[in-house]
Amino acid sequence: MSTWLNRLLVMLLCLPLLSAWAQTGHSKGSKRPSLATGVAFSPDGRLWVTGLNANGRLFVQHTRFSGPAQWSDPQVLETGADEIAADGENRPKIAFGPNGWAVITYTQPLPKPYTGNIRMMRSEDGGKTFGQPFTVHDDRQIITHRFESVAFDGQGQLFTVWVDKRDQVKAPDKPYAGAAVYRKVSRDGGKTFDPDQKLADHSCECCRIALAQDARGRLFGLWRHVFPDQIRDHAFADLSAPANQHQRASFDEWRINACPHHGPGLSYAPPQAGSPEGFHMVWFGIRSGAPAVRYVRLNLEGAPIEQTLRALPDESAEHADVMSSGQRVAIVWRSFANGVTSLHLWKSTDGGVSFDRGVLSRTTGFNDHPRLVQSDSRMAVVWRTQERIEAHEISP
Amino acid sequence: MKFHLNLIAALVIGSAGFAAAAHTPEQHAPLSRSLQIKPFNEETWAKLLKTGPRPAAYMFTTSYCSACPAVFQEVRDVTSKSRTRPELIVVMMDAEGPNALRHASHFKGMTQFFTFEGYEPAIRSTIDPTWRNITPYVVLIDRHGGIQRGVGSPTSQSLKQWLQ
Repeated sequence: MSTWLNRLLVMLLCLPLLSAWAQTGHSKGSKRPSLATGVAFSPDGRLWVTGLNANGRLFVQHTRFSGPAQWSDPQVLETGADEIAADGENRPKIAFGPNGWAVITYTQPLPKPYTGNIRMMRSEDGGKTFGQPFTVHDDRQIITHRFESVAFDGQGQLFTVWVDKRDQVKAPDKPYAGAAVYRKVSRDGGKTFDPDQKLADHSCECCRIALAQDARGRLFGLWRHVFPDQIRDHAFADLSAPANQHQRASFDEWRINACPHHGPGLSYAPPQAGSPEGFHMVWFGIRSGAPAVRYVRLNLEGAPIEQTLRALPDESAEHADVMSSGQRVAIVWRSFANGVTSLHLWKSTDGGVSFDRGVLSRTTGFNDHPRLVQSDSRMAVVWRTQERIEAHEISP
Repeated sequence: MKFHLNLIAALVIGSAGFAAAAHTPEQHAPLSRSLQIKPFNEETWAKLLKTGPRPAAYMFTTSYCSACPAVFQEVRDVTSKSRTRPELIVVMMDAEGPNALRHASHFKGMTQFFTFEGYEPAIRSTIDPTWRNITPYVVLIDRHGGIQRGVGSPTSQSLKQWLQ
């Protein structure tokens, strides 16, 4: 095992900590566990998770992230009659901002297929209490508003972005490829919002949107996009930019009219010898017939630096995420083989020039996609299985 | 990934005796009459290959796959012009019970409806270990047991070969 792995402080934080009902989340009326979980660090350094418990109820829990975990009792939140999506790429999310602000968002599927609302609950006391859920977008048609992502920027502005089909239904006789990405901005922690604004036409319909903050605190987004001829590569944009000012960030030339349900990951990359300031990106795609999760470094405008492109060292890799701090880069993914799902870590200490690989955990049952989470220079990966919620700190 | 001929020439041994895939008149009934949801677990695919109906089209879909209904319709339209009456089988991978039925309304003309019961990657690997969860994933089994598979719309050539 490599030296960095030997030094790796794998803190299995959790674990007996969540009571069984909290560990095996379910959607209402479903036998299948709904394990998709959102994670975030609060400003005081505690690690928070939000997801569904065994009764399909939304809960939050938190723990200190030093030494043995001491999880709080699960706090079940009042969400009324809302159905809550918590499966795969669609998961509840939690984000913390300044002034004690915190928000939880989720997609509320509606009875008509492919439709939903983006719902938000807000806190002004750092997550001690949350208000009633409300619908974020102005558009109230029974259409797709799904796959939201949420984050505060460096100035404390709250950005919510989501996949939206209002432009498709606006002109039903006119072909409209995919959906659109819309954004909503709040400057008071979700109390009031600017009007809905379009970020881009023609996004893919069923993949998560990755968000990352640069060194100046600006937020950027990365999503699977439908380029001409049904090419489903990725687009990158400043979340404050006018509509359709995005940059193409991947060039797999994957021409397909299908739902990959496999969104990208994005993290800021400071300048490094040979590479300018930019971002680290991971994504799934099929390039020249070869399916793979791949890594590349983007410049600050979102264009890929082709010589940094490489496939992850696992043909079965799924649902990768990336995070970085200085020259440390962590990429995590899960893969299934022979009845076992493994949680993998690919770690670099030279800004993504070279990586070492390790396996952090395994399970034989249901499990969520791994989520990376960061507080300043501390990084951790959270992985919810049917038995427990694991949190592994990624050591320097 | 294009829809392509699979290297596997499936050996289909027979068509009788497998209750889960049995071809009964009521299963040809329109969706609005009655639809029986059948479980699809890690053993189902092997059984269907051995004793399932043929010719048959299997569409693996998900509740979020908005591309799937149009692809299903393409396959259905081709079969409606065909002398053969292939089974049109839909397999929902991420929903069950009433939620699955809600989405089944997009697949009018399907003759059987399954939902995954178990861990999705484990079931998926029994069908094709190289398949990521991209949907629609379509498997065409012809009357001789030959298999074509791929994601997205089958080509007209694939469909023609399937129905020969």
